[in-house]
Amino acid sequence: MSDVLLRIRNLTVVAGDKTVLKGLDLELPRGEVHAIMGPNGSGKSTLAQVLAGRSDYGVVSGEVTYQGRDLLAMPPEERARAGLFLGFQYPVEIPGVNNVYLLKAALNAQRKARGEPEVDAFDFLELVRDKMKLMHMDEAFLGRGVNEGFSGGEKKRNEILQMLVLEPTLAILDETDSGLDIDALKVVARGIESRRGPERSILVVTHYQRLLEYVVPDRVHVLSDGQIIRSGDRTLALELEKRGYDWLRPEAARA
Amino acid sequence: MNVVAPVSNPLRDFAQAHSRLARSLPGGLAWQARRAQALERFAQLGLPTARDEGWKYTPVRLLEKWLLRSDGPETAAVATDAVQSHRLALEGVPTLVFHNGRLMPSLSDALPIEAAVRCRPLAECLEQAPTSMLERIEVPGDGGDERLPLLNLAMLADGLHVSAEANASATTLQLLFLYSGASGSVHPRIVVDVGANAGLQLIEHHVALEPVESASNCVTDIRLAAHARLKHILLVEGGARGIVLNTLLTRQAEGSQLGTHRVLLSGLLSRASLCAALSGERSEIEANSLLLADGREHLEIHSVIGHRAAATHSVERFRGIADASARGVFNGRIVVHPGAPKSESQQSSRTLLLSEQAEIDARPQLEILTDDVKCSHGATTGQLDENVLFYLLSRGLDPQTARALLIHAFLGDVLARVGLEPLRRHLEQRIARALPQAPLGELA
Repeated sequence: MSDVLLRIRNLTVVAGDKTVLKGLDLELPRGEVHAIMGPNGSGKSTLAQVLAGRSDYGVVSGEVTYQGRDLLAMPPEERARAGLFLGFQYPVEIPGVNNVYLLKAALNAQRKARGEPEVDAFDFLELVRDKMKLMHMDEAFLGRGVNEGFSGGEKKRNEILQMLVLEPTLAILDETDSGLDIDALKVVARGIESRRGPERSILVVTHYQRLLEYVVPDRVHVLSDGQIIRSGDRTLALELEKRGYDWLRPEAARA
Repeated sequence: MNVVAPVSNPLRDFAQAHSRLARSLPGGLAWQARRAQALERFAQLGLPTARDEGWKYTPVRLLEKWLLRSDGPETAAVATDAVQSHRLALEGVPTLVFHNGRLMPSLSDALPIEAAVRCRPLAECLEQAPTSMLERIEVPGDGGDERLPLLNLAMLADGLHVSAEANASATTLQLLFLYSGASGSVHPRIVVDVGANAGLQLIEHHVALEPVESASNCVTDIRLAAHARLKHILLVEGGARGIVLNTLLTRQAEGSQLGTHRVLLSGLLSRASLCAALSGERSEIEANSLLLADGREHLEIHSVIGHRAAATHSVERFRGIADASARGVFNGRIVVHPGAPKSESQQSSRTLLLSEQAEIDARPQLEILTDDVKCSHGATTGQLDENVLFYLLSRGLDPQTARALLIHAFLGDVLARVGLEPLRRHLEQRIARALPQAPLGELA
């Protein structure tokens, strides 16, 4: 029996005066890849942001345990240091802060939290170059400002590069597939697949099942109107692709 | 019973005190007359008030309180360790130290002896060559605000005359101005002449040491001959109590290049004004400035850049950061006069507010009085972007480091242009100290 890495119970979250998540339950066992699918506005991105520690949302009730710890009590940087990684739907541009500096600062912050020494400068560059090759990224990206002037696809690849360097225990990837052409999608999928392993888990948040052809999920959950309304194996994703989301909605199910 | 209090007129009292004091200042009768002339014009104009252009936001009561106090030069000693801790460690760069406006030879490095660049105490120049100094140091008249330079001239006692002769290769000099004790107001002047094709780098660093009861009204008066090059760096650390006012007057002959980088790190009131005249064809100026205001500090950057000849070029960049309940002001005016066709000008102003109470009033202005010119300007103002902060936190950076990184990025392009690598590093360290919430040490 596998142990549960992330457990969400009865999570209710408001944004402004709107209730976005309405008593959501989810379990993500260690070593598994799960996908959360759902129509626009169902609360997918809110869930991803709340898990990473965004403070704009109000958690009204519920609990989230990550590796047995109360995740909601941890500030975002502590979550990151505990091995949680969010791949942003819209990665921000930070002119003046160069990519390689951010990668190194992030890696060292996490190493420090684990009581490890700072990464050796030579080893670090070696590691980054290696991962960049995997992501088909030009080394010139390293010297540029974080995401500065990057195309949509380059930003997404950069997110996955960060994930590969930081080696998270739980990666939450928010619409990492959106805005990618088919070649870029394959590269990104390969990067994600390389993180599959018995000790860690991946939560893929997506609108389409396209990415799931390359990153095959162990479970698929459908999020609609702030709740998980259906869970199943990968065939659920294929069915959603064919039939859309409407047939799953409670009112449709009742009809 | 009514008691009629004697009407106090600070300007008249000051003029009386001045006439007694002026007799003891260097330069003989001719210079007494010049000072009296400057004082008269200053008295006509009066101290700036909040109604005056360029003084709208200034706490002018501080000027009333301090600028008209002429207690006379105080000879209190300044500790050598204060000199050591404030001089920038730049290898091979001679440092001249001034205390309360007076050159202190005992604390200074030997003046460069090679003839190409000469430094002489201004008091000595006034005594030994009063007539040529009368020609060189004019009563300010046109453009910009002339009141502070007028007052400086009326009180002129000492300073430095730096002259680089034609074709002199670039030399770097560091001038460290320390202020301490109770000396009222002091009015040092730096006169800089860079000869044709010569190069010079000048670092001017003003520091108010606690406890301080003085105001500095320093004027840096620069002239560049044809094709001369000067890099000027002004660094002001007025601390929580200091009042440091600096006016930079520049005049450039054809093909000359001036880079001026003004950095205000602290001060109860620190104000740096530039009045630049691009008088010769194809002369160029790059005027960068930054201010970092914290606590209850009030820091101001002003500039008037006048294009007065054809094909002249100016770039002005301002970056301002204010935290706590500090106040910053940027007033940058670029004027392209008739007779300056084919001129180009770029201006940018960016401000960053780190607290609700902080305020920066930035006013970039462009006046074009001729045709056939290329001018652009842009201004932004804002807070640290919460989305960007969250992104950095989500990567494991602590909030302090994340903020520091963003502040560093905000200043980055202007800091990088200071050049002089060791100086840039020093600036970053001092900026880290000026903004305690921004530990930049490890980023430098």
